[in-house]
Amino acid sequence: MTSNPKLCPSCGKEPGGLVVCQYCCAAIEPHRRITEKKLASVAIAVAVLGVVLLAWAASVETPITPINELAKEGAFLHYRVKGEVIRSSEFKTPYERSNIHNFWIDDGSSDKSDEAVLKLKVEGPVYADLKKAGKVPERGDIIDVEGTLYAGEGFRLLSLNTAAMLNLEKKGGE
Amino acid sequence: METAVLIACVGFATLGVFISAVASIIPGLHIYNVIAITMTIVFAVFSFFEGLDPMYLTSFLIGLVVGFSMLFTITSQFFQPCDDESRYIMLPHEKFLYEGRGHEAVILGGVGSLVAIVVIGIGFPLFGSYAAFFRDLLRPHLYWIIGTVIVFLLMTEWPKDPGTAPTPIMRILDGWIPIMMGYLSFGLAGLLGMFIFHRTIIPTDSTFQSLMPVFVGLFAIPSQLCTLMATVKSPQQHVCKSVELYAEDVVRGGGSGLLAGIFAGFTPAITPGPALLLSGHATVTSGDRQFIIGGGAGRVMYYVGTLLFFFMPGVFLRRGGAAINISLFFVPETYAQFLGITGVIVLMGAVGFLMIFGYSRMAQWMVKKIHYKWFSLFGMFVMLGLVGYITGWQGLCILTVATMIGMIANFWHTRRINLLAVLLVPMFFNMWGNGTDVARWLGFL
Repeated sequence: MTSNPKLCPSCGKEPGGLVVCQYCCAAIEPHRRITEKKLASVAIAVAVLGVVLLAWAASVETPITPINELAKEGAFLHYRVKGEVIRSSEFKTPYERSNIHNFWIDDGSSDKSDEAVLKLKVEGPVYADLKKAGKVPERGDIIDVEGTLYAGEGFRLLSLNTAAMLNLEKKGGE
Repeated sequence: METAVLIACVGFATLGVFISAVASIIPGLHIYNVIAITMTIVFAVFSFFEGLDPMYLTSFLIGLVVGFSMLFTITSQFFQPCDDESRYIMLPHEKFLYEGRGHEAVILGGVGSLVAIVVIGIGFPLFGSYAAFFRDLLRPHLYWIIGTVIVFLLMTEWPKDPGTAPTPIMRILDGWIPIMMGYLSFGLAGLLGMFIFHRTIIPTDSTFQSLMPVFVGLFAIPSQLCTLMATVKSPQQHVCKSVELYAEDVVRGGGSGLLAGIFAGFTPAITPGPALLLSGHATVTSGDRQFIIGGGAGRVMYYVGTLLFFFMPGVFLRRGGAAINISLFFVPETYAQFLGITGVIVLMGAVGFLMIFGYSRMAQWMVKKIHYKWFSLFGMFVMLGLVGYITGWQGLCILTVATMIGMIANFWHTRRINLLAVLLVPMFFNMWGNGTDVARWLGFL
């Protein structure tokens, strides 16, 4: 434990021939102590846990939720939907980067159109990123999109926070 | 998430851990101060960071917090030895230092930190969703919980004088003066807190660090001043290669620390210190080892665990300076991001723990070569410069007032925990719904 086995492994003083040091009261017997090497081995095992979590993060995907199942109880949560863009609109403001673009997505999850259709809201800077990446959806396109759900009495919309969360699955747009 | 992004995140987080290791050398420098500097730089060169994935900067800040929560107590332990001129209570790690077992105390604290990292890595992905339930359950009751903590802090103040004065009157005064000074420091800190929360004089473009001068003044500067006034010698240390440790210590100390960290994370204004005091009573921890392990676990659970709540889908609990600063540029969304951040935390926690062995030896070597007072003097100038740079002369004025209140604890041997009234009092009134009325009554509005 120490360079001199007669000394207390905790404080380095002469323990006085006892099982606990007469100065610091630390246990001297090796079986009541744990070495730095063993603790380092535990830390390496913890590092492996970290790598496992990273591998899990690399493989996990947000499950697709049918639009008719999105309700106000899920407000502010993250959802992924997949459907066809059936129309779009743009709310213009004096500054182009603050324009709001809306896309209505239909996934056919219900016979009632208001249940199967969800508004996707894209704000200016994110829209600019979509444009840069050539991913602005058009009517007829099939898109796979993830975002934050805003929902309450009589309204539901999905807000796209980053351009990376939208994928054009099938280009069928006009 | 893409593997390349995750690998880059690990790289940025590792950089954060190493920077926090350098910052931890300066006694009194808090990681939120380092984050403040980082954010100031980020805002200055925003165009560079705009094109980067926000996960990179987030990982860097996570690395800073993980590294700091595991390393910052090491240097303060060796560089700020306890002096009975200014301190009455010797905490277990200080006792270890005086027995020449500072390195052992560091490792025990590290064991506590590692316990918290393991619980974060396993418990949060599996059971983290229950956090939303507890958040909603506690929300309407937080004001009286904070009120109860205040009552507990005031009730547990005790006379610290040994009662050796020649006359009964003098003995009564010796007993009561530290108690009353403790209450005075609580009251003054509470008043300062009400002022800061309702009518701060910090310039508006620095309000993201409005509490910085208060905390530096209440805690960091008094510690550094007391270290400068200290007359004790830094005790000779023995670098042990093994520590006395039992499973019971890890379970009881770790459990107490985790409870403290979680409680502090869910309850605004409660920091790990008072939370550990409460959880220590609640779980009846015993012995120095359990105290030190609990401290390590509580610190990491509070700084890192509650930061992870911010990334947890459905919870998004924003607690602490790191979460507030990250929320300025990043909105966490997906479960993959949460898992990625958890993985980065666990990996950096393991790296931080492995660094502890060498870091402690380095701190001991430094204190042998340079007198410990120089570290505090340097730290004080860094802190004053930082407060002045970020919050201006207004911040320095608040810092001066806070320092004077903070010194009461050292001069009259009261507990520094009373100074947390700076957060507890305004948060209690605000969450009760009377904060504005009280501030108006005090003339702050």
